[in-house]
Amino acid sequence: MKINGEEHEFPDGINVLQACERIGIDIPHFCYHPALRVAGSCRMCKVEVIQGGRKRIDISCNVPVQDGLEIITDSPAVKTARKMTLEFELANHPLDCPVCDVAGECNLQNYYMEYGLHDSRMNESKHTKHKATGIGRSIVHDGERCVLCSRCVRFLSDVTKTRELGIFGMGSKEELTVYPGASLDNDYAGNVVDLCPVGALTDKDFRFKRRSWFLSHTSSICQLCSRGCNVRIDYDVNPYHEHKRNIQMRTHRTETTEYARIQRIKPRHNEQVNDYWMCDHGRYGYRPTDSADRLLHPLLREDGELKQVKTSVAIKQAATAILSAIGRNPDKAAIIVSPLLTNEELFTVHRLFREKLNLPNLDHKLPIDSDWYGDNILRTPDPFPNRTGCEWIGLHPLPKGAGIADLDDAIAGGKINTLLSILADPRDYLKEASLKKLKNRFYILRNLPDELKAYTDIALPAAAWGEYKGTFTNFSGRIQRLNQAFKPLGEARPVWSIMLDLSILMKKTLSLKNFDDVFRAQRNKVHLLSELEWDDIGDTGVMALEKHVEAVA
Amino acid sequence: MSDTITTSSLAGVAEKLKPRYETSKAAMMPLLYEVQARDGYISPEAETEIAELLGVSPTEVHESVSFYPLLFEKPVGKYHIQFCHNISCSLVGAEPLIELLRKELGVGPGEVTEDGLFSYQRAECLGCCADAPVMLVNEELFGKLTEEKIRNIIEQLRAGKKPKNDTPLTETDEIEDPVLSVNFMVPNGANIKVAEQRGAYTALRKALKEMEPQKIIEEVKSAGLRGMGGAGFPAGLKWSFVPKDPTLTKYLCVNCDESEPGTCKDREIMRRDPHRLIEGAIIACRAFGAEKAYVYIRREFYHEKKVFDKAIEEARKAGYIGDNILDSGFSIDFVTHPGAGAYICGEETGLINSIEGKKGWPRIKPPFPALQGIFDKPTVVNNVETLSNIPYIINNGIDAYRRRGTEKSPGTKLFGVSGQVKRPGIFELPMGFSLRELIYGICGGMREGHLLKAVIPGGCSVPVLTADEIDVALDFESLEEGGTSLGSGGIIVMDDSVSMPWALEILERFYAHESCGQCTPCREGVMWMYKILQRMNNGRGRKGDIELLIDIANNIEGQTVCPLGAAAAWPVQAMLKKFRGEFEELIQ
Repeated sequence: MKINGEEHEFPDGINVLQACERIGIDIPHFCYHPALRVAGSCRMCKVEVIQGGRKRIDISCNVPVQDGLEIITDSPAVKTARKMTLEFELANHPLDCPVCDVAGECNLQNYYMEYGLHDSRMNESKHTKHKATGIGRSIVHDGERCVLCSRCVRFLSDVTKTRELGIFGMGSKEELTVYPGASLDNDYAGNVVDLCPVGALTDKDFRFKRRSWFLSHTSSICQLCSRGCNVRIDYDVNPYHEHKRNIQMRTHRTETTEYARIQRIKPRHNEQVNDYWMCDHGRYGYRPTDSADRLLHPLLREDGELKQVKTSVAIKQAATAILSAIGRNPDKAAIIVSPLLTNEELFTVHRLFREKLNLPNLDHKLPIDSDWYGDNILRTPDPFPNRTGCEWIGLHPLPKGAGIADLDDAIAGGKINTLLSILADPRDYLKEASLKKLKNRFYILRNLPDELKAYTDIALPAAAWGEYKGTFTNFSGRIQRLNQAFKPLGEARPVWSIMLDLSILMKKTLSLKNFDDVFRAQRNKVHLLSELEWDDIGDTGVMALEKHVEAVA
Repeated sequence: MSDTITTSSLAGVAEKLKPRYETSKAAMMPLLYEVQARDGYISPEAETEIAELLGVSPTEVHESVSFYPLLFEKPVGKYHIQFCHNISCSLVGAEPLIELLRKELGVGPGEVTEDGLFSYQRAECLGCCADAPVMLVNEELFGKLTEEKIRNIIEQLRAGKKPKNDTPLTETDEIEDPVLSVNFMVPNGANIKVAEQRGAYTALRKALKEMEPQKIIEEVKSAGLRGMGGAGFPAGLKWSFVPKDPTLTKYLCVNCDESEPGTCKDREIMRRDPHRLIEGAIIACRAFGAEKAYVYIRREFYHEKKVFDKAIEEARKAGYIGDNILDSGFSIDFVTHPGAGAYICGEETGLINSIEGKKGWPRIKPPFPALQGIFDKPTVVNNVETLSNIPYIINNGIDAYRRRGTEKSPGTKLFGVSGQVKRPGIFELPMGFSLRELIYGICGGMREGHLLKAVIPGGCSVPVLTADEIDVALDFESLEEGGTSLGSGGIIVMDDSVSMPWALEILERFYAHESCGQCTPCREGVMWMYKILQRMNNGRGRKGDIELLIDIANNIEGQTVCPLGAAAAWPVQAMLKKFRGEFEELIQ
């Protein structure tokens, strides 16, 4: 078929709007969304359709591509139709952009600049509807800004099937809102904010935090279940954008977490993983990265007190402690890693402690919180993002070694006296008595809660989510990339980097110098093609080699 | 209100209603009326109750309840009055009467009198335009209202008596060899015995015994029968779009949501000759293979629905409806379904959604109903009058049908005349009849002392004609040449006392009220036009208003999901073109 005079070929089953997008022609639209059934109600995506010699203006979202069709997307008639539709959309719009969170990323604004640029001809009184109404845990509704595109309604009826929102009433006075007395609190509620093309549904968590144009974006992978939803980290490292009362007297960023860098998390489209969605648990689960309990500097217990020391001192001390514990008997130490580690981190832990030191007590099987549940949309029954990585790399106890389940007994019986816990709070899997009895308690942690300090001998700060790059292998064997958004706070470092230093001090050097070395060395372990480079993984990930994927399934 | 039912029996009613439809959700509307009869209105608790009974979410129930004007979200009076304030009624003095009603009752629209006896609402066209001015008191229609009559009715009701209803039967004329009005003048014409004596169901026998379905379609095609709901689409052609695959379930929807202001023809068939419609509908089902007919009847036709429901039962007993009718191997079922006061449900896909228990939002096309209609099955939606032509065509043949009318608009048609003529009424006339002859001959001309000013010839949506333009034949082609449309055949006649900006404001008030709210141009644009007109009529016209109105109308026309956007735009375009001077006078 022809688009603007040029011949193109498209596969059957897509519509003209999608076809235009494929060849780089943007068609403005409000109600159309690729993952939702077509509504055809906003009338913004009009194009000129020439079929069988007859010309008509039609909505491109509901015209299937077909042989011999001719489409014109930029004729004067199309421009007028779009301009007028926009004028209708804006007729009753409150134009409160200065106090609207969505300003800067609003379709109404963008399209106005592109297709409208008219002076308002609306001299009548505008409709008044509900403003700034909380309609759920995290969602705020503004009826006046709503363009009634029904995306949110279709999402809640077809995807979550919870139907909290409806368009009630009739005609120009109708209003989208929550069913009287109900609350929009399902696990996927936050998606309606992403779907809303204007500022009608905003997120309490993000409301008035940042103007959208101050945000930087980095693509990453959610770390809160084994699906590994593709996400985008929206962050701002400029302290001047902080609320006025917080930036007074501050001239440059300190290395403490006095303000949050991550402003919000948005899902990225990946048909193979999460489509366009993510769950609220993941969406609002970013806070630990900038929370006040971040461990920023190494701590070492000296004369009974935890003191801040240099990283080199802490690592040296840890190397000495572990070596002396396992000097005669490698059974004396246990290394516990969380399936929160990236493949690169897991790989270095495994290579040092299993391959080089042959420690038998190595495990990753942390207990799963009893509150956790999976569902049939995105959430999986496993709240850890990289269990597949742990299993493929081999972070298991040796046949005669102790796993997490055996630890309390082994410690009580004096068989184990040294613990290295990586990104896992030992209280999650050990009794208090065991923590007291251990001789060496060495942690690599992102966050060190005050309550844990009494049971800490050495603590090294680990880089948090967003602060470093790496890969996760999700439940289906897809290897996906986490990118670095900003620098680690304080002296925090990725676990792989700590492992490299530790290996040198333990005289078991891994002979790897940097991330690229680690990434290349681990490819085989995580079943990637051996010549696959970091860039090849791309933003949507790659599947591990097929035979291994079958094995995990 | 009517009989009370207990909660436990509501579940029983739901179980009885559900099997009539393909989905339980479709039983929502009749069930809502049960609740409204029980409670007087539909409370949030009742919405939840219905949601549970039907296995849908309360949101879906509330979407309907908040959408349809005749589902009440708060209590109404024991006597709830709907007073029509649309064009045909306004032309004959509805406004002073509504004012009188307000004073008599001492409450405004939407309020209930202290004693709980009365409430009233302003209604958009009750479909009885030839009897204007009209009001419904609960389910009873009172027409040809005067101040005295209204006072009497209120007085009687206050006294606990049943008020006398002296509404005369709508004027009509007998014609030779009528197609549609055969039984209009016959006492008890709605009774099956009377109808059968006058030839009802002979065409059905013939169609079942002597004709293959394809032959029926061919016959109707050759007769040139056009759709009488407004669009004039050839009926036989519409049927032929339905897939022939006999394994597919197919449905007929009968559109009796007659709500286009000025139109009141289908009502006469429904109440005076329902068997003609039933017979036509069965033959249509036979022709394209439908196994069930859903008859969508606007809620305001309480009386008509009662008559029609009774006729259905008679036909069922007589063996015309049911399994293996007349031993033909063909089975057919009928379900009547009430509307709820929304004009948009006259649009065929709005009607389909309404039957399915949804808001009457029209569907985008494709898919077309012929392939994916009600319950996603192939569906034909036909107007009452269209179907009522079929028995005559089958009985008398193509030539007899084509003997009258024009080549492209053959046969006869029912014309409803309302407004300021001496004798409003409903008249069967050959297609191509002269508009002038109808107004000055049959309808007796204009009221004493007044001259003709304007005529809207096909329901209020079609472009207006000036007094100089009425030498035109009443058929699809001639009126289209004349820059307007035959539409539904509802002819609204206005004399020289009428201000066109006033009339247009009434029309746009109607469209603004009835816009379903689905698509942007109609939802935003029509209310905008109404507000501008309102302001102009209030003496605050501004320079540029006329150009703006035309611009808005032009950009609604053809840009919407359904044709009703254009329906709101045409009157504006035509009025501003033909009576521009009157609008200019309103601009300082």
